[in-house]
Amino acid sequence: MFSETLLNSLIKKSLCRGGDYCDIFIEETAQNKIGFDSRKVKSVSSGIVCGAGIRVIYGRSFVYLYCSDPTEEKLLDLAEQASQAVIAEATGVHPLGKLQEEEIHRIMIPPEGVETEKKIALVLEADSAAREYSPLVKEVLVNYLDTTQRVTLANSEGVFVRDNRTRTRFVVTSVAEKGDQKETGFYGPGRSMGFEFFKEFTPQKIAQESARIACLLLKADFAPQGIMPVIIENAFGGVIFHEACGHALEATSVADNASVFTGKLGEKIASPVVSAVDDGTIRGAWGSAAFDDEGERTRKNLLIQEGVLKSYLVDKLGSIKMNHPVTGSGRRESYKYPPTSRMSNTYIAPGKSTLKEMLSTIDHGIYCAKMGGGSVEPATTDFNFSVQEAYLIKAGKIDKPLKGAALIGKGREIIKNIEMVGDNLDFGTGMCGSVSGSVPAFVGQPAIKVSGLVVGGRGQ
Amino acid sequence: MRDSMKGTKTIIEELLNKWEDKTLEYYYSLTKECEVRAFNKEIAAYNLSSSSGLSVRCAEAGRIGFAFTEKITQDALEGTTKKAVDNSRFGEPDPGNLIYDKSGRIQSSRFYKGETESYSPEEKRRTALLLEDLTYKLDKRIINVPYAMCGDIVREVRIRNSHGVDHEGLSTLCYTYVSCIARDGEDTQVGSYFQIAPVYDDLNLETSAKRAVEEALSLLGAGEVESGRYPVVLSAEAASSLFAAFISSSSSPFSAENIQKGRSKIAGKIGQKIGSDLTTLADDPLSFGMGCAEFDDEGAPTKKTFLVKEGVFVTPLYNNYAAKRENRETTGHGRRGSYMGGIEILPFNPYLENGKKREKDLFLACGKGIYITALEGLHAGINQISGDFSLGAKGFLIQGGEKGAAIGRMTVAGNFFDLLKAVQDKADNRRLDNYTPFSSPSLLIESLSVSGK
Repeated sequence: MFSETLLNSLIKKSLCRGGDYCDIFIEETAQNKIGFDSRKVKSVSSGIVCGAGIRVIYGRSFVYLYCSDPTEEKLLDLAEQASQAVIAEATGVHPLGKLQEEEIHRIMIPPEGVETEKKIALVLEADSAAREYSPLVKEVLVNYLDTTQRVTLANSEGVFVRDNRTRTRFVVTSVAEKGDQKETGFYGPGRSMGFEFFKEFTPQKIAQESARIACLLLKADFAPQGIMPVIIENAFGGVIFHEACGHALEATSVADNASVFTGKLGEKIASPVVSAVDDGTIRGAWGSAAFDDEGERTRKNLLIQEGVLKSYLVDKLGSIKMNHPVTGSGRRESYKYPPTSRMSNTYIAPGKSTLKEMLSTIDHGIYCAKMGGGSVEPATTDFNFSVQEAYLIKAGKIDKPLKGAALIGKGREIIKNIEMVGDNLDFGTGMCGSVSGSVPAFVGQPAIKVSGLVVGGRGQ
Repeated sequence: MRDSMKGTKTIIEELLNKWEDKTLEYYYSLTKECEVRAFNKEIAAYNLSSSSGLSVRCAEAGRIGFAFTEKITQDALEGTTKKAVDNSRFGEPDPGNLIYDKSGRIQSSRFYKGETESYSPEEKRRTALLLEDLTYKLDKRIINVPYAMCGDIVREVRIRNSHGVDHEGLSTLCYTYVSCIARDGEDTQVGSYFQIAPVYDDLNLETSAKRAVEEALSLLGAGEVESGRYPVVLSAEAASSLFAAFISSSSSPFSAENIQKGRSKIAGKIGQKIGSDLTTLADDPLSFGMGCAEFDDEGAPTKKTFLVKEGVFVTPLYNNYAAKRENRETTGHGRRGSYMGGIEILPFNPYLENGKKREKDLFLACGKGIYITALEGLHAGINQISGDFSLGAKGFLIQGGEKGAAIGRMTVAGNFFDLLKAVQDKADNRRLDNYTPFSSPSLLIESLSVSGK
């Protein structure tokens, strides 16, 4: 652990040739993984990630330097190199304030202390449960992961913060087979929790869900093609808002005029039934932390209120460029990335409609019970998604299962075309990739009905 | 060997001696990166880094334990070795769980260029600024260039194991990336271009700017297409990204492990026709590209390997694990993303062999159909086991044997294994300087399902 005196002198040194702001991020992360397939534990691994990064912001520009295995000597060298790379006037530095530390998640059972044998037992339970679900399940892949990230953050504005982030995730992929046909089902919840995670999410439950989807897809027909109304179910369905809209609200693209939502604060950008939130404070949620990766307290940010754009997601650099307050949204995968504005736990707030009401309005459409992944281009909000579990809607009723459905459209259009919002808010677990690496992100929503989306499949 | 590795080497030799009753493998890498981004005629970001780490694998009675650390002190390396040994106690034994055992010493610097490492920060700043300037100057409708970047990577790798493997590799790579936004009235489109080269002087900034701008402009005013089945020309980029998603992935059907474990549709088909006569797929680790290397990440020497020759399935790819399970030699495809990860099976520089025609000859042969220039959602919209894919796409109509109006949004769906058989023609335009971990020329495909309006 590095002393306050050293951190103060690093900041001073980094800014000695100029610059408006400097921050230091020091990380030590322990992770444990177990990989399992073909009825065997394939790998048991443990690792330590350990490094530090120094950033100096000057004007609208920044320099970022990092190294692994930081020592006092290496850090002083980084600070020297950082100062040499800055082309700016010198400004004042505040000494560090009082150290802030807060454990918002209250980890009950730190996973580092749990014996590997116990973790392997969970993996074996999952394998059995998936195979017991149906004889059609021929292969089960299980991945166990726990990480504990300990970060120290200090900056030239006096912020001095420590934060511990423990996360646990359990992922089961089942492969079901019938004749020549092979289908896969996937379920992988994760939380900011320790080993107590498995009280709520038993390996059996997770495995059965993945097996259920794989078996269902064996019976599914290819999805049809064309524009039609779509109901997207709750939980991981929130990935649609995350991709189609959330990324375009990040300062990373907004500040550089590379988002369709640049300059639209206070304007109506979505249907009046849509309110959306990003909340990094939800206890135990996958994307939560007490502080963001710039040392700001995380908070609940109302992004869209009844269709009106209320706030962007803004990091330090974004706040300088946009003259917008920071929102506690500066995040990064590790010390190997400078922070940028990112989502944490992002969701569409619950409305009043029920699934039955939504179905009753559709004669021919698609019900997406479980979404797969997707991506977006923030400049145009062109998005694409795959649907893991889908059904045809025929005359207001859920009909046969479908596979291979893709949804495409424009984010700025889909949020205007959300006609109904359900009352069953829930969340799903994901890893979100962007310029500052891959970070844990929760996506959420109640079921929503979208008036028309392009559905791409191979069926008629 | 560079000084940066000498201290670690001494500690590793000591540990190998100390744990001589165990079978151990040490993999150590040190990566130095520099990246410069220009924005609005200023250097908006300057990133400089040095990251290193070491992993240990211990093979014991058919089990493998793994541990890694970024702390490179005597104590940390000792602790990491202990952890790997401890982790090797768990699980069921598997005949594949062995450390590569052909002793030897390879010192590789075939892909190292000193001039890339010595290129000055000022020159890099100038390069990024010039790239931005060139991009803006090409057309008035270019309203923003969010990314104009260049950078380089210098990488040292060392593998040392109990069976006498003692390899060192040193390599360099530099790149540029530009993305731009074009606007005409209310319509906005994006274009981008990535280019890699052994040295900065080989990067062609004009080409990068021109191709990014062309992509953005060509899609302005794009319309829609009627849903249906169409003959399709996949551009070199679109075909490369589709093949990369299926082949340059640990879920690849060409992975011997996936074949052994019933996760590949081409299991049992060696020597059989799985593609059209035009489908020749190979991997060449020894030519310059994103994945070039003289030895794989377990220490096996690399060589050019044909996966498919004129449609006939020749061989899957093996790492040491999959090879030992069949009592044969590895093809040298044991790879890891970094010291943090376990060994997977992945190709280095895979490609689909060029044809002799120009891309426009494929349009002519197609007559009426769709020209797809970009595929989206490849990380989620494909199933490597069944081969099914359904993806977002952009492109153009092909009418009267020529490229026609732009199509802004559509989906394209099909099956990868059917597509291998449906390759009817190919062009001569595969790229060697692309970031995508696969290189294909443009392909004429018999038909795919397209969804538009």
